[in-house]
Amino acid sequence: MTQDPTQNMPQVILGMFVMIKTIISHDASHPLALKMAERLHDAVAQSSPGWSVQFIRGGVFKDRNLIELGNDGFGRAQLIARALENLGFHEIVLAQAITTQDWLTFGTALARGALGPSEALENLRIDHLSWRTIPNAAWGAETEDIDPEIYAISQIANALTEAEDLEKNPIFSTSTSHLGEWPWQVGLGILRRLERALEVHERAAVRALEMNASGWPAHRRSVSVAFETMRLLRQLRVSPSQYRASAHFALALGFMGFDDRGGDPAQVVAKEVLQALSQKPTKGLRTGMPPHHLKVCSLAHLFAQPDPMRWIASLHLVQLLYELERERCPPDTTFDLTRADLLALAAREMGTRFPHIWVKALVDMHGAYPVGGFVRLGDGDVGVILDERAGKLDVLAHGNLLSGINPEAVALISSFEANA
Amino acid sequence: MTAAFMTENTDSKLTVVDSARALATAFSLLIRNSRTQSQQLFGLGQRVMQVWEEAPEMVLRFTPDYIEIDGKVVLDDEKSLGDWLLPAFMCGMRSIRLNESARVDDFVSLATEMGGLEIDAGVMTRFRDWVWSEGAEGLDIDMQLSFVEVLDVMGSGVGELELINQGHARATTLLARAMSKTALPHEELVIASRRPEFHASMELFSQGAKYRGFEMTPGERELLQQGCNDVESWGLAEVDAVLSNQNLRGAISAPRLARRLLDRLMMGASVKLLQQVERLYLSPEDPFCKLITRQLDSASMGKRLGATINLHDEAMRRAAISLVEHISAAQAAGFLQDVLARAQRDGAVYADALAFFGRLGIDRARATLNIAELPFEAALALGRICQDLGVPPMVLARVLETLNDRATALLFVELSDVYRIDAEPRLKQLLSSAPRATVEPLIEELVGSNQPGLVQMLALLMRNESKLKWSRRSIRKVCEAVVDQGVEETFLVPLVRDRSATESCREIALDVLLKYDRQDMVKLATRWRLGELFDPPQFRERVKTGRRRVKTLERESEISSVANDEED
Repeated sequence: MTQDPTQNMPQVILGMFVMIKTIISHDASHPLALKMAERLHDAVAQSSPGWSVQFIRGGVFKDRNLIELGNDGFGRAQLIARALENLGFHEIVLAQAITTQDWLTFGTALARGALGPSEALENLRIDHLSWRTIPNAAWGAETEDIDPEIYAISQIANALTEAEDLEKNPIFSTSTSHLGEWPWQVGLGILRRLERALEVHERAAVRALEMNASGWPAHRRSVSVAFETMRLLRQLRVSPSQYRASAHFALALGFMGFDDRGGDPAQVVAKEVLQALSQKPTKGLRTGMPPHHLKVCSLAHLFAQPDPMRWIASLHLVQLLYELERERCPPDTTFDLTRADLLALAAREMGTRFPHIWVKALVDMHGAYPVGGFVRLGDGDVGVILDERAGKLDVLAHGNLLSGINPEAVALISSFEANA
Repeated sequence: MTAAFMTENTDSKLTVVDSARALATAFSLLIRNSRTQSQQLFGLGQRVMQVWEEAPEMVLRFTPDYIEIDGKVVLDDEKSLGDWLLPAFMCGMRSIRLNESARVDDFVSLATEMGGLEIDAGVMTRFRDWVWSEGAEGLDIDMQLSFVEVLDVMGSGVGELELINQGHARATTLLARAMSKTALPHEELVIASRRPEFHASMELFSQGAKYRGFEMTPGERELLQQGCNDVESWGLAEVDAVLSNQNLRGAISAPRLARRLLDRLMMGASVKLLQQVERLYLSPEDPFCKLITRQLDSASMGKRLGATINLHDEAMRRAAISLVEHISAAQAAGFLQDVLARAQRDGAVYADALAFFGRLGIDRARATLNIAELPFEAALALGRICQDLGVPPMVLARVLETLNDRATALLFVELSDVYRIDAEPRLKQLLSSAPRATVEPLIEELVGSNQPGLVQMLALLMRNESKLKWSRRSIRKVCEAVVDQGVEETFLVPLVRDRSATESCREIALDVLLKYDRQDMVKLATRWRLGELFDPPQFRERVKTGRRRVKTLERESEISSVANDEED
């Protein structure tokens, strides 16, 4: 059985709180204050020192795991958090156990912080105990004071990490004869991150996903299909309920259909996707299947029908994006296509293999210089498009970032040409 | 709301504050009870719904240790709150607003989910997932970043996150590293060159995109938007998916599916949706379908659909008729009744309803509707539709036989002669036995219509019906109309002399003859007869007065003629 990593931490928080209160009312020299520091010392000993505690926006975390505190505990933690914030810090890092006297010294500084802004920790040194500031950790207007660009990038990065973990799920193993249920919770987590990234900084999110520093494994392509679905449908002002369901279905389709290189055609995996999605969810649902789940299942149901005329419009987009991502990593090569290559491919087969109107919508969204595409510069060198802002391009070339390049001065080229 | 709280010292404002407190208390109780008494929550849910519906603008706002409504703390007692509030707050939950589609089971579901909250990252994430997945139907919940989610952007993480968190500059470094790879081996390029995906013309794409060759027209954009948002298609897909998939049947209850179906119908029914509903009614052997249709019936689907459906399109009318044939009799009646009521209120709907009933057939409508219980508006519309459809007079007469009295009265005035003949028995019945509130305006309308036949029919009724409850004013109007038509000899004189007619009618008829100086008619009406001895004394007095007046007038006339003779 795995042990709760935050076990014993409520006692540490309680000990710290009582110590601060005692010092405030009796001063650190009072025997009672020393007694409280001893209690804290004992509580810390029980907690296997070698941890860090973060006080972030009302939450208290040990090594990034939320500490379970009741109402009283929450109130106590807030006092410590306020004290620490008044001292200019948000994290306490304990490398190993420290003495009772050291706790008393630290508690004295905290007590000052509890009374108002103070610099009591500025020149203090305690071996094995340190403290640091976490930007944006203070109580505030939630996401408003977080750098949107960083936030968007972190959301994409986390979504990719979760997708990578999801790929290891046995449901996606080709050797599994019986499909299990779709891991809804993980899927929802990924989608929520993608949505937040799009909400706060769309360009940064696109860049974070499109920059293929680590190649295009199946999970990344699956996330890409979901992301593009969500992005385009949001731009078309499709209601959240519908775009979320479409994106979730796209994610599931990608996971079930993509191989390391290439993948199965969408229609081949349609039935498997339906089967996995429509398994009765076993976790996390106390009151039955929420509308979102049913919508995703309905899309899978329609997609498994042989007649595309019955489909909801967004399914055509999902299919287009899926097929493009399938082409992203052709089998038998180590050669990946960029978004520009995929769009050129879509444009070539517009109205035949791919629905005319959705290709237009997709190209319209990406513009003439898709992020990640290759360009040939005036001097013959090859660069990669990082961004397009106000009609000018940011291009990475010669290992440097060239900002504000006039698009007329470069020519979009294919991956094949860039690598040849 | 704000204004209400600002002037709390008045009685009505105190009620608002009390409601707010009652809401917070009931809501908290529901959540706490969801942990133990999951079978008895419906009553509590009803209480929450009831309080909230009284002031639907109230917004419940959450803090870590109290609930407030419009800036006022309405619940902060730890015992009343239990321990659900802090985890809810830590989940990022900040407020709940009621929306118009809320039902009791929405509160029960939300309470059940909130009752399961703990200060645990996994539990809190699951709750957020549930809210994000639109689990909280009927309620608008404001969620902000949860305590767990804020970690995503704080401090450092591991691996790629650590690098990427540092922003754009770091991402470019990553890219530069990727791009600094050496060129691909020749063999791989050869393999790649054979693959079709590498032969898409970048030039074609680039030029097309640059010169707006792929730009969407507003019409295309709208088309896609509508296609994706098409509520009906989504609804149909959901029902279809559930009905054809056993697993999904277990995952969603029939009542909930019925409710979603009903919501979609209310948002805008279409041919396909109506057909889908019809299919459910056509599968009574399927227990799941039966459960759904039972729910639809108990939610008065027919009535609600009738109140919203657009029957402008012929295909819709056909689908609606087909549905009416297969849903239960009560639902079908409710549907037709509400279509009729709307038709009476709105001219455009009337035209559609006319076409609809024309296709359905009045006989079928009669068989479906409980005509005797049709409310006034619906009854009036039905009568008008019958007339406008040109149904045979006997058919309309049969409809009128049991139709709402007031509606019949109004309709009768509008009826053409062709219909009136057959419908006359009903009119007579109405005039002789309907309550005065119905009869009086009817008489006024009939008299005002200036149609001799109608006035004469009224006069005949006055003579033949001994239990008329008409007001004296109405009787006088009829009598005056008779005089205007110059047929008093036929109708008023016999009335005055007929002892079987009501006394008031006889009295007023005589008064009118006297008032209008119809001397010869008064003479005829007051001519002595034996039966007069049995008339009530007051009436006899009036008759005598009439006689005296006639005599006086005759004498005056004689004197004047003698005088004239002498002058000559």
